Amino acid sequence: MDFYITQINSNEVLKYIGYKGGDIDNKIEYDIKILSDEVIKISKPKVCFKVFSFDSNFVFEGTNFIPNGKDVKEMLKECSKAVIMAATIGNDIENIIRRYEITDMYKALILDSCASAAVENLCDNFQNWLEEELKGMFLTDRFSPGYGDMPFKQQKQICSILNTQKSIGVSLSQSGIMIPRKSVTAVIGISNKPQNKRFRGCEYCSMFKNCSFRKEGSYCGKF
Amino acid sequence: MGNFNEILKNNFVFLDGAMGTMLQASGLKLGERPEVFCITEPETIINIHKMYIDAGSNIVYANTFGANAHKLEGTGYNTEEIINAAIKNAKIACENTNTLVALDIGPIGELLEPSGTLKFEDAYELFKQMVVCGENAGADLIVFETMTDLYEVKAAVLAAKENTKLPVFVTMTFEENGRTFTGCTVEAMACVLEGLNVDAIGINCSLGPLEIFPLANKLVNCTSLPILIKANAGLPDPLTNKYNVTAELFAEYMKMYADIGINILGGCCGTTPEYIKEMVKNMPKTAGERPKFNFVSKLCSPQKVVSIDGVRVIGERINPTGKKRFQQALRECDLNYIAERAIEQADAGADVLDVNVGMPGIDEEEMMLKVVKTIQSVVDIPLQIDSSDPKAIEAGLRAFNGKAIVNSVNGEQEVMDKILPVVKKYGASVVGLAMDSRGIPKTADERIDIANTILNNALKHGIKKEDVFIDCLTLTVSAQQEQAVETLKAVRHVKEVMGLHTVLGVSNISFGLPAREFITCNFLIQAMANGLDLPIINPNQQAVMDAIYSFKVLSGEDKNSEKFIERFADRTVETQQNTPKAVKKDDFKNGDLDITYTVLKGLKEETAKITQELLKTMSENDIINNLLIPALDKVGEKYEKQEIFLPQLINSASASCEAFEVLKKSILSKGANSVLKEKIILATVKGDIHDIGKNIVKVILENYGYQVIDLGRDVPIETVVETAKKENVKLVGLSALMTTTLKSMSDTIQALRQSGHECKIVVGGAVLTPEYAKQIGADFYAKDAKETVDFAKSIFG
Repeated sequence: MDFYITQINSNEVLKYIGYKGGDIDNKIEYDIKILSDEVIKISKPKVCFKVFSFDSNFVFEGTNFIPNGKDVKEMLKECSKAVIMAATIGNDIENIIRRYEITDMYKALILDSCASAAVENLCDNFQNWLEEELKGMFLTDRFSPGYGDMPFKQQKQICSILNTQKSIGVSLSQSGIMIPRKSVTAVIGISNKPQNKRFRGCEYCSMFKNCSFRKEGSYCGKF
Repeated sequence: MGNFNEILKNNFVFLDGAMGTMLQASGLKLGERPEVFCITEPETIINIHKMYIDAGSNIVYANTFGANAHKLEGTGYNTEEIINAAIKNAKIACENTNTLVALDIGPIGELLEPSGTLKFEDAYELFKQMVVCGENAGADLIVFETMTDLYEVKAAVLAAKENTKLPVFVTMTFEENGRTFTGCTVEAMACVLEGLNVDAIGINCSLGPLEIFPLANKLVNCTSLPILIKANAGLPDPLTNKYNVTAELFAEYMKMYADIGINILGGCCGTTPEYIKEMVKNMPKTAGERPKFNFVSKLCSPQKVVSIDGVRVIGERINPTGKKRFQQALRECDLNYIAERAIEQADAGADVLDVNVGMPGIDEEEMMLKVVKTIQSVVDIPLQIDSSDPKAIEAGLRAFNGKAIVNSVNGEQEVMDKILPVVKKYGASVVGLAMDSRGIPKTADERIDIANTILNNALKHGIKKEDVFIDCLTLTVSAQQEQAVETLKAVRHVKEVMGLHTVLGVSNISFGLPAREFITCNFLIQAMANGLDLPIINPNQQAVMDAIYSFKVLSGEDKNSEKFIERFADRTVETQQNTPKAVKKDDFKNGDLDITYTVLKGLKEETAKITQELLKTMSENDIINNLLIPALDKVGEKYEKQEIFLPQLINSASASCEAFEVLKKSILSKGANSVLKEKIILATVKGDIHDIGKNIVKVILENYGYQVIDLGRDVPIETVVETAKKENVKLVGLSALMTTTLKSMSDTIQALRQSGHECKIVVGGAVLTPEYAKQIGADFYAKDAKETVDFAKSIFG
């Protein structure tokens, strides 16, 4: 099954490069657009996943995997199944960024940020496809190791359950960093009841560029 | 008991099918290491092997795929225990049959440098451990399979060749686009592995027999080695993970491979003994003929194969000879400067880069290793390792990920005896200089004699004719005018009569003359017309590259003049009108564009030009202290007030970097050493590879005139401590992005403190806080690049 990057949220990119509101010069907005296109062109998006049932102790069937931490269990409380997924936009973008880090740091920074936004979009697209596919069922948010109180170490288990190295070319370094860097692993719950989605971040709000809370370094707290 | 050489003479060699698929059916849980079954359930393993042997396998793969120290971590077993048990199981299954046992080795599971953090040398050690255990345990051969990284394959093959006597098979895993996950092509795999002298190469996993076939078809046209294929049982369904090709269909499809002469066949994921049985049953008596193909000289990186079937440009700029700025970079181990020279030449159209780092006071072997690794982390073209020191040559060839050229040997027996074996071992091409201990012969005939001597010696060492390139030597025409013609004569003979490719360092021809470019280009064109394939030139010189593009149109290589037209698309108007463009430089003379403005706006070229102009009336130090630093302070102020944000700050810093580069060159040309102020070490700590933040800090610090010693990312603790001591550095900056690598930041700080070396330490990174920085013993937490500069200023004044 092939998944694609369909768009890169420029507000998300702006957030990553340290924008806190106020005027943005046209050049940056233009460069983000051009470099977003470049990221989409260079990326080799890949997703792998498996669907599991789990018991009341959250042991995923056929594995020794139990997602740890209160937060992820809270998220899964109305679910009887879950998806473990991993996604990456591939190694080529890493090579290009490394090159720009030497010749043009400005471009390197924007590309790096566009690439981060791209992998999020890829995950969104996968999740939308999955929800379609599982007609009548509802998905929770994506929950990744390192979020909330879910230990970062569980990344290793996820990668070995999905055999990510073989299936999508994602491996872990000795210190647990995913390589290629622009990769994500996550657990998504499947429920027969509609699931509340969390606050996705200011970059999805229409007030992103002009919000006075953001300029102060806080947020409105509405969500 | 079977014998490897006997079995290879069979019409077909049948391999086994999947092990993992069979083990999952026997209760292996997802995420568990299958190798552990060798010890906990030997009967299960022996049975699986027996089923494959009964199905007709001539070679079975022992259950050792992931038996490396890295993957076995936490299982309670070590490599030796697992491999001993696995080989024993397989041998028990093979008793009273002719079936052979392969030590099966998959990827280590961690990606190598430059994308990952595993060092080539460490990967070699992990493989060495496995192959030595395997040979001791009695394996008949070694198979490296499911590989996606050619660099890892190289480490693996070298480990096997240098530490065992066992035959070696290698198969890599490709996607339908013909590349592995790391971008390696089928052709590049063949090019490198043919050179490393393995016994068979091929493709396994990821795809079914139908999808692998086009790739196998490509492979038969780029190697003379035996080929093996282990295909999956088709493709898995995304939701159920079931494979879609039945045993009968699989057997049918595998016959296609026999038709094109591929006769070592087996199955991978999803296949079972039934698949192998069907395949063996349905195979014709003999395999077809492998297609005949012409062996073309090739060089490669994993991503790019350069065939020498036309003029190919070797870039000459990575060489300290006569270049003060480059020499300074080598002395300061400023690898970024060298990386920039590599990128610049690759962008200008070089097909290959010559790498020469020989200079008094530099450990050439160590520097060659570092420079080769640096260059291949930023460009994907093949290299030419340029040295007379066999150790430096070996260091370069070993570290290079691809097939390289060695520059050079000459007709001296002693030189050939030392260097040719190294060329052969690493499967490189070699340049032979048509000279010997008596110097450069005056006549073309004498040079041709030496070329013959070199060719014969190379052949004796097992180097293919196609891998011998001859340099007929360019002499300076202003000093020895009659020699230019002799060189051209020799080039023609070597190319046409001896049938070898030719190399020439072209630029030397015009040394000592005015308007050198005219002579250089003219000689280059004549040389190409006489058969020069590999000019060593400066690709940044437009006229020289123009000559090459033009030549390729006339030689017919550039079909429909496409590349020529593309190159000259923006220049045609200019030529027609024949009027020079308005000189932009004038704009700066009157000061209507001042350096404060260009730095603020991040205009790189303009800043460099203005700096050139300013040097006519101001000293380097005045420019830095009175213009550049105040401009940067203004930028910093705007950043703090949030009038601009990070990208603009970086742009301004990059612009002022250009100014610094101009100033550095100016100072070096006067024979002085450096304008730079105090030294600062920057490093992204051990285990972490997120270095973009550190690199931003670097650019900004350099702009304030500090000499940044950039140790890179994933920096070992000892390197930080040793460099700080050796260079007597008073400020060390450390970065870490992950919570998991904060520990190694803390360890680095502790080691620095314990070393007794007095220095301040500044730390930064997304997950750090001022409190935590204090807790781990840092002197300062900088939230961004600006704060780092402020801290540096507060220390150094």
